[in-house]
Amino acid sequence: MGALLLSLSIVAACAVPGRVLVNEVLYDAAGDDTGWEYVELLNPGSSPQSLAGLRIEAGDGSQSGRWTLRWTGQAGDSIAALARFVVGGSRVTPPVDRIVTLELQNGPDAIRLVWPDGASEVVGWGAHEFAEYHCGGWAPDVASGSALARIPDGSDSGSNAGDFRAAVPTPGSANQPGRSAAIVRGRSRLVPERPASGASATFELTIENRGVEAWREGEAVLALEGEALAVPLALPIAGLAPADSLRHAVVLHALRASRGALIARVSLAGDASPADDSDTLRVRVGEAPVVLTEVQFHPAQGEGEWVELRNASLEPVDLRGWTISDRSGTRAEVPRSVLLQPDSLLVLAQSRAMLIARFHGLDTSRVIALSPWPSLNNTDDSAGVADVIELREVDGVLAARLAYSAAGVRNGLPLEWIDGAWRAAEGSGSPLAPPARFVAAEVSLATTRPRIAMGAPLELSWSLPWPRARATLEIHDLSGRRLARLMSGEVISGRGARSFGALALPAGLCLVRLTARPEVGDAIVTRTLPVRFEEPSR
Amino acid sequence: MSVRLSLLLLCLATPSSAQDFGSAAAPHTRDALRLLEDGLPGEASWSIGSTTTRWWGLPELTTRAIAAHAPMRAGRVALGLSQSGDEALGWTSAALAIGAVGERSGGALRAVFRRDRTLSSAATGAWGAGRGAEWGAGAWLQPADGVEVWASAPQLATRGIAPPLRRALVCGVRLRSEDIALWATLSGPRREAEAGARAVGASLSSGHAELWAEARDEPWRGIGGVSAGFGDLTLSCSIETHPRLDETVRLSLSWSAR
Repeated sequence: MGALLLSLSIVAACAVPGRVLVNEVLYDAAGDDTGWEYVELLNPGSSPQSLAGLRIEAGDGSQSGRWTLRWTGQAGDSIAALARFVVGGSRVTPPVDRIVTLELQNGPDAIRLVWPDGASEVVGWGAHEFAEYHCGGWAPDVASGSALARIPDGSDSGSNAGDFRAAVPTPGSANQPGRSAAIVRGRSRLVPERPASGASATFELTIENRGVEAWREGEAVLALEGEALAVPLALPIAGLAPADSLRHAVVLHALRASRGALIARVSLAGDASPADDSDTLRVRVGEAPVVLTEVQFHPAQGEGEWVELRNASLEPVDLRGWTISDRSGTRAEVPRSVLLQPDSLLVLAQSRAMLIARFHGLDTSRVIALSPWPSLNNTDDSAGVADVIELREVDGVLAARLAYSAAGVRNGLPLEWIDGAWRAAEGSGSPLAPPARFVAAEVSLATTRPRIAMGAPLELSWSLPWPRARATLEIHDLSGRRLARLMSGEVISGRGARSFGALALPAGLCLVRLTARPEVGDAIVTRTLPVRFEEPSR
Repeated sequence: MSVRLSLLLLCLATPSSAQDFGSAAAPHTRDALRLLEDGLPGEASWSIGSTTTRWWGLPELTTRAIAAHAPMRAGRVALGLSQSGDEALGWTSAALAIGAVGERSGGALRAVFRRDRTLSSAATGAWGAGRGAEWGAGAWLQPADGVEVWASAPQLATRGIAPPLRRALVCGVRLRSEDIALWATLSGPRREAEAGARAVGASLSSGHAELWAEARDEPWRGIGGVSAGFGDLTLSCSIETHPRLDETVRLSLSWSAR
């Protein structure tokens, strides 16, 4: 009963007037938390205070009454007037006053100071169900790598929500410097996210005055640099009062095809906190190596949903760690190394077994099941979009994005990229194969030099209606006799070129015959190219 | 003895295809085109022949030729002009053949002069850019009634740019009754590591019409042809199929002063 009364007496307590208070907490360090977590205490009074018997407890917001002791102040522990005292891990820099393993968690969670006389202070973050885990309203659950700090230092309005904000970790130092311009991490973006080469895009970011002093217009300067920019940019920023923020948009023109970092940095004379002055976006300008080619969002024959990808680049692409997501945010990751060859197709499937059962003859090595599958909607919203599929590279760079409409697409028909547009596919689709009508596309076999000096290489280029094909390449003379076989069922890219050197062929007119068929399917195409091998006259 | 000679020739020799003056008529036809192409003389009448060949379904590789033939007692003379291919790869040919025919034998010499339609730096030399020539000979013999053996070596010597098609010695034997003919040919290898080639054929004639067919190896394929006479005119058509390439189609028209 006594414990219950004590528990009730400390519910939702804020900072105790005149006593040491929690000034900053780092509960989610970037990467592994071990050794990096800390709690910073601040003595706002004008005289030293003893910390003997003071307890720091960690609260688990998932249930009521779950507090666990993390540290107890010893007899010699004290804190000078207006000074800070840091309790935390061994890897915190500068070193903490007392090393302890805090094992704090993301919200909804909390810490609590409990004094020997029963007085207490609670600081809670994240959306709490139980009132005992916060004081007057919970503080925001901050992003990994950010600290939860009182802004300004020692702020005590009677609400965690009002007093605490995300901040750059400053263990043992003031949370809010005198002058500080910062770029709010995680809020920068490029619109559109993957602009075309040579096109324009808007870089949007939020700049915040995290100091206690205002700055005037032009005092702060925003600089942008990166491979996508022909020249770095420097732009003056409007004046900002303390704690104010500004959403800033910069139009970037004539972007260069690239993949790399776009770095924004704000500079302000006398900035006391340079660690939060920059933000980096990983962006791609121009075509991505892998594109979406077919989407089955409303299967009708039990094959499950699936998405077909194509490597449109000239290099193999390892899809390990790539993700695909829908508009709801459900995101699935390719769990293992999958090397997608140039011009090859691959299918990401809701159910590999069901898809293979429905489409006999699929190359099963190129059907990858993902979980949790981002369930694709079948009905348009008021804007005419059923769902949005995003394919992202391992570092989050957008590779492909499709906002599709299901209107007019008969149930069971996939959407397929055909002749430069998304259209309803024929039949039940063509996983791991080009569109059916694509088979009739242009087929070519060409050479840069139809007359070839003896000893010079035969240079051929070809275009086939499939991403990959099995090809046989033979050389016949004018009478039809075969002189050489350069390929025999070899798997080649749908578009490619090759040089065949040192051919032991007699001088004269020859016919280069290409016979190709898709890796899957019965189609066949042939092309014959006449060339002339020449030797010096005798 | 003559049969032995035929068999010996079959064992030694190898069939080669025509290139400038190939005719759609049956292989045993002895007209102006055959005289220029293979050096095998025959007919004893004035004649003019023309032929068009679309090689392996390639429109850019078409041969058009015209030839004239004149008998002078036992002598036989033929002249011809031919053009093959497009500007990039094609060539123009002029040919002359002179021979003689006896009661049971005949023979001729042939010469073809070529010039490329586009001159290439890789094919220059003593004869000038894009020019070349070949000399050859052919002969036939009838050792017995209804039996004919022949041999043709159309490229005994070449000069200047290499000919579009290397042609080896061809030997053949033909057995003929009134309406039916059977023949077989062998072509020798044209270079090291190349096998010879064989062909067998048959024809059936009735009045002014003749049907013929031939099978060849390296690779196995077939040729079929038909000829029809209309007074002094003879129209012939042949189609050669191939397991890899498209068809070669020949169309020939000849006039002969019968």
